[in-house]
Amino acid sequence: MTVCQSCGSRNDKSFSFCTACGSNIMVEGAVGTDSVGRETSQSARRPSMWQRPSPQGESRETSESARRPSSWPPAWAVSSEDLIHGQMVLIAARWIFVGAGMLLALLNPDALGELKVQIGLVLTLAVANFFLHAQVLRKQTMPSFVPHLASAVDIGVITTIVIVAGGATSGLYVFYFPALFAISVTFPTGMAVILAGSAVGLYALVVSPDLGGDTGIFLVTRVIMMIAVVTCGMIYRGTERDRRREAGEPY
Amino acid sequence: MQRVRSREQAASEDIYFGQVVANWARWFVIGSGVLSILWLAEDTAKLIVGVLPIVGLMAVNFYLHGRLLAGRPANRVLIGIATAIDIVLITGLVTLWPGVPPLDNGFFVMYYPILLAFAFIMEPRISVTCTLAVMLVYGIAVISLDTSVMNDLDAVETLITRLITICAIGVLGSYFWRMQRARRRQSAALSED
Repeated sequence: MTVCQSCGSRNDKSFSFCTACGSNIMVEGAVGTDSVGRETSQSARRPSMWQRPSPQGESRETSESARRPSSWPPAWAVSSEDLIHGQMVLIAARWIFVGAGMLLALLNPDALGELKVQIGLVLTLAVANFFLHAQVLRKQTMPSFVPHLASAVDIGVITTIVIVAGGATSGLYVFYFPALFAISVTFPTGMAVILAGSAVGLYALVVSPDLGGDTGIFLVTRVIMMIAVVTCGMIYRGTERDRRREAGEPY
Repeated sequence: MQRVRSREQAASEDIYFGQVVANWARWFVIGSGVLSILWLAEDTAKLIVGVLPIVGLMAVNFYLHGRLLAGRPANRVLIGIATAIDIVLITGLVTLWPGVPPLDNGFFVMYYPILLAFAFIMEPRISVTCTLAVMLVYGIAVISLDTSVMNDLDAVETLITRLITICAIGVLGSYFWRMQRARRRQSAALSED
């Protein structure tokens, strides 16, 4: 058993974090007890936070580092794995947009011209998303530009719908949030910044004429929260990548 | 670290690693709140009254972020309480802001990063429950404080759109959380082989 220094709870010795308070119980000098209740030092038992001794007493890190180059896996491989996993989030976000867009268009139809634009865009997006979803389900590889292009189209469609529905006064800007989240967790940081920055920049451009009005602060808040969602997504994606890397897991 | 983790162990790791996102989400809400107060305050009294909850939230986030930096992160209960405080404050901002009906109040967007961060930390059953609770609280607050909303189809459409996207953020966050856990489990199994 390992005694947590923060809250005093007893945890299984294989645990890395206290199940009661969440603290790291593998820190230097943490106190553990062996099978007969004698105290043992965590630092002596576990030399590295993510290291696990192999059955032969040789650390996994040492044995694996001998087999792998230091930069294994390469950055491009990790990014493409992220893209494969994140693509499902992009597709799910797009289905939500398609479903909600169709529901809202039919629930409260606008002027004919506006409705035509809305339904046309939503149906086009649905067909494109069906194609992408089918590719993923069939485990078919597709060129890496396809998800990038699809996300750019998402941003374009949402911006068009916002402009058609009245720009700053339109409430449809909320669809940016799921789209931005999906972009932030799917693409590598640089590409995510470019795509999300384009979306936020476009929206800021659309609402800029109304910035000086009474509702100016609400417009600024929208833009700040869009940036917040993207930042949260990117931080989490980075944290997960570091967890996998530090654990020595391949992807 | 042990490769094959129990559910309980994986959950405590998720809390440890995920809470930095919640801290940053709260900093964004605080920054936006400070900007709003400075932008809208017309006299000293309003500025003081408006800035007090923001100072409180800052104190909470300094404490939580400081604990994390010191290697003593918050536990599940503390994170739950902090998120509940965030949601109560945002709902208060949306419903009590003078001169603006709740549906016209744009501060509801602050729910998005808070719910997203919570979905990254907690297990889906908890985060989805929290998302549903926020939808319920926001929906009831808007309708009960301005009953004319129900007679206006445009207003109903706006409310539904917001509720759908609040739900989408919470559910997509949980979906990504599940995906990451499955990915870790899968790669750990591959490494074991």
